Amino acid sequence: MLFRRQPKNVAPPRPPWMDQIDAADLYEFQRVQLAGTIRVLEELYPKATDRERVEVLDVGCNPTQDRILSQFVKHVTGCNVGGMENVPGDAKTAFVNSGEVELPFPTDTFDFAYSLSVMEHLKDTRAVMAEHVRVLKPGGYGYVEWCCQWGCYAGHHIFAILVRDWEKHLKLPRSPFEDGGDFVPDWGHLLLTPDQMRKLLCKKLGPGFEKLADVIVDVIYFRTDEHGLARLYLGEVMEIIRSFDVEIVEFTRQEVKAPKAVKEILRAKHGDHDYDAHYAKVIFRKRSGEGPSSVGSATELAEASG
Amino acid sequence: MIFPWRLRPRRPAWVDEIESAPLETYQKNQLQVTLEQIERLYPDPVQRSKVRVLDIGCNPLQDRLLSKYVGHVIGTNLGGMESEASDERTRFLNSAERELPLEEGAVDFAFSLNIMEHLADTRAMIAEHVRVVAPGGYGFIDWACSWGSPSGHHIFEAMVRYWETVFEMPQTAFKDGGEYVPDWGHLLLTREEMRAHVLSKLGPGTEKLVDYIVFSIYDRVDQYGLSRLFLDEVMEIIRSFDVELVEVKNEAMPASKPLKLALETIHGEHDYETYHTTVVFQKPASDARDVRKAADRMAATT
Repeated sequence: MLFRRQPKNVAPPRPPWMDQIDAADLYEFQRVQLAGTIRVLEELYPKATDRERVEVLDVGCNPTQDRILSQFVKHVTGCNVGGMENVPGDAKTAFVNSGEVELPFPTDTFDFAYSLSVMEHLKDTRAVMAEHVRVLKPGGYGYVEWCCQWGCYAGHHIFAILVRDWEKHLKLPRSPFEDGGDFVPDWGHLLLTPDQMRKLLCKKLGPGFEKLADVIVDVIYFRTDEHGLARLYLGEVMEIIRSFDVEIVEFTRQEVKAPKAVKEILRAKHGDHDYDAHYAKVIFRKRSGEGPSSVGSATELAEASG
Repeated sequence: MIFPWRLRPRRPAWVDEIESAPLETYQKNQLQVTLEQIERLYPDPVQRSKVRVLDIGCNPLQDRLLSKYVGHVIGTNLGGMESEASDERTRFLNSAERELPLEEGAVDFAFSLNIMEHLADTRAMIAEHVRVVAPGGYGFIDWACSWGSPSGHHIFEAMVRYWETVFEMPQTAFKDGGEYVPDWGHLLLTREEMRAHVLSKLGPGTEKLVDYIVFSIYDRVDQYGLSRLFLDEVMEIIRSFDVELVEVKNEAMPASKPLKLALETIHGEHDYETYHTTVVFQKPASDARDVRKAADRMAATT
């Protein structure tokens, strides 16, 4: 008994669609997101015949992701705040521009509506969530996944790949900016004022990069369009999602724990919030309209273990 | 044959006596460290029994214990020393805030324990410290919680318990450990943020105590207040005098990277990790000083 060999932790078999994702022209994080979305679809609709009847909406879309996803479902509609007029659709995909809040679709249209890395950028999270829920059919599923919520270490949402774009846009040479907390400190957006952040960036980036520092400070603290930040803590976002007539099927969060001293300072400055969770994944189901609107106990369990 | 217990360090005579004295643990530790320091600097017992010692900002109980192992001890404090009984080995004097009531070169070993972080005028105090030491004599300074360190706010449970009795209020939940006054909070929070945070932790009805805590951290400047100098600033003041640093010992508590970056951005490059410092300096013997002065004069003329 004692010496019986335990089964090893074997990785799940590689799904057949993985090669296609690997070959696609996507960033690594987008590949991970797409694979995650397909897995969620497979979980919610285990039979391939069921999946083939699913009408999908991607809120804040990436056409490449949507084209790959469309092979597994009936149809995918991708919408974005702008730039979709030149993206060609086909038999299984369509791309449309949406308003900043309004989704240009009738109520009760989709079986599955998802958004990837959109939640942390919304100016009006409640309004967009209302639209997200509205366009779902009763009993349909919503799936939102995002990282770098305002309270977490990288809530400032400044990454090297973005900075490289801004350098090009500002016609600057490549700056020494790197990810890892040396330039924009972890939790720095909550510890420093805009002026202090600018001072730090100017010092770290060196002379000649003042304009870049201005852009970074603007994005962290002030910008509110689709490239800006929602600046809501995870608890506030979850409260908004829960305020709709939906049942939370799954809520998963991943943490990068704040050091104790950092956490105490953050609590003193901003109150008791979730400063650890940097990633959240929520699957919810729109209620059919009838029946009690109590949240299932399975949900709370998933939350506690998450 | 070597018996291993022979290799154990000798247990000094004073250990038991210090142990049984009615002192706080940190005071016992300090006294022990001071005695060890004196023993190291004056290894010859005959010489040690003649050493004139000065305790700046004294605790009479500590000094009476200490006086048994040295020549004699003078203790000075800003007040309250008139009621302390002196004897042939101890003397207690009131001093002014920037002046010591002693002649130049009056003592061989002058020490101060946990005084540096409370001085309104650190430079003037060190000047006096150096002045009263005889040429060739030593100064010993030991203090914790410099302004840059995690507990630079200097608010401790023992003090809060005392303030509660002064304000005649029930005991609050205050505890050491960074939960009530956060580590480095005095450097990262404004007065208002600190007040709101401590008040939210201690609950309603504690406004008076909270205001007093905030005042102590940010504004108070008498001998119970804080000097609010970073460690490097204090060390620069000590180095600016004509003394030789025999020993500088630091104990540090690492700060996490984001806090360090935030602190450096807001307050500049300082030591934010050292919470305990020990400095031993020697005043150069008079002939060495004469040589140095002559060299300075020569350099000035050429």
